[in-house]
Amino acid sequence: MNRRREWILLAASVVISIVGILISRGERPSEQAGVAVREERRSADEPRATPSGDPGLENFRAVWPRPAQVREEVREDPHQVPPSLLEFARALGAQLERAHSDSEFSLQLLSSLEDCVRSTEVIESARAVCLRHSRRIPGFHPEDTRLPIAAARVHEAAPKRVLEIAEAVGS
Amino acid sequence: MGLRGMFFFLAAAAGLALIGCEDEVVWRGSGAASFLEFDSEMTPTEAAQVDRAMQYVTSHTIQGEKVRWFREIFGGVDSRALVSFLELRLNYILSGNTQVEKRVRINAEPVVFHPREDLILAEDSESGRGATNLASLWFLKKAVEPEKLQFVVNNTLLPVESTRIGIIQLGPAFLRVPPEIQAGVLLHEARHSDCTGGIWNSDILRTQQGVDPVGVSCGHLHVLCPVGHDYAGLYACDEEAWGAYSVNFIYWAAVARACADCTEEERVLTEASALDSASRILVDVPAMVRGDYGEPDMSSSTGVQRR
Repeated sequence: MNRRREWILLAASVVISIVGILISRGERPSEQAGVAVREERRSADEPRATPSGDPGLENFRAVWPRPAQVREEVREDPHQVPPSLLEFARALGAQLERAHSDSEFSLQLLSSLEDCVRSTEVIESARAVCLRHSRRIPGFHPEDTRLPIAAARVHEAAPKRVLEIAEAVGS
Repeated sequence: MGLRGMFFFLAAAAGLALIGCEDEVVWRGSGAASFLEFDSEMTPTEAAQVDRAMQYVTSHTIQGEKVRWFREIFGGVDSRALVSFLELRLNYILSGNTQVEKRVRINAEPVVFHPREDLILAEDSESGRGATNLASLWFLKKAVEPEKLQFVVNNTLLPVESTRIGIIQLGPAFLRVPPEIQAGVLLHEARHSDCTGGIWNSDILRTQQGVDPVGVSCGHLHVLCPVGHDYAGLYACDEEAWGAYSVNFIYWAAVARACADCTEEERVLTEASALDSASRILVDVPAMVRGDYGEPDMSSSTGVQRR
């Protein structure tokens, strides 16, 4: 009987250890596993994005192109636009469409774009994309005086190189 | 042999000749891509994608006059100018599966390549998997002179007379992107066909020693992106104004800002792509656009200069 109990205890401890290892690696099965992994890559000094609570915006954040991922894509094919940048642009297009008809959402999107422009964990060209499109949003709802102020904050958040890239395309 | 016999003999000979000609018919692009010769190893999918990219170029109304430097780069302000730009610089399309080293001949004989020389063939791709312009064959041709360097396409030996021989090898990613991006990639590759300012004799010596040419605008070779850049350590940047990334930067900016019949998605994608290209240009891009680096020189030369 004692031996049997020992076996049960041993088996239980092995199971607990495996579960513990899986949890520590962040391999928990989750509907938003991709989001969880991406969040872990954020550097300590990166401004933590305020969760918007909006699933659409959270999904948009999940496809912000990260340098390590994009480097791999460019290494594979230096001439091509990184696929993750194209995916990001498509996702942004969908958010902009929604912003056209929703003033409150426009404000949330501008806050998200400010995080994007500020983040050193997003490639510079994507940050420039965020900056350029932030300038369009106040025009969607000219009556909302909060939007130009939020758009100005996005502009102020942009470092010099991101500004240079954004300005290059002209207006 | 009577006259009738002679007639049948000639008819039979003509028939055989025609059958022989059928074997020699080259595979060309269709529609706007008809100036391009496809290598026999191209897959139908690859050919269809090139046709699709060229169709995109011709079927959209670009108002190039609204975008600074568009006219200077492409020689006009509409899609006809884009096609002419490509026609001058691209001639042959190879499959991504083709082993280009096996197509090189010196005095009609196959060449055994050392690893460094393999690198020189791929103008800017570490892995050799990217869409690539084989303009660098020109450097190799100068390095082996007076021997004759040739390249085989569709069982024909092509003499490498200049960088504008225009041989492009497709990369796998070319097949996965939308046509507005593919069109920009073809224009980018076309710029590599320009040997602006000719070649320096020191670069011929470097090529002979298996070292890549440096700081030349012949072929508009890419350079390693510097430390701190998102693509640091990859041959994915231009250190000159008006190189190959500048060409697709201007094209994509035009689609994003000055296309009369493009969709909103096309605009968003091409604007992001234009900004990606701008991020790869190491000179001050707003200053370049202002004209501080002068006008783009789109000429090509086969001259060799001393230094």
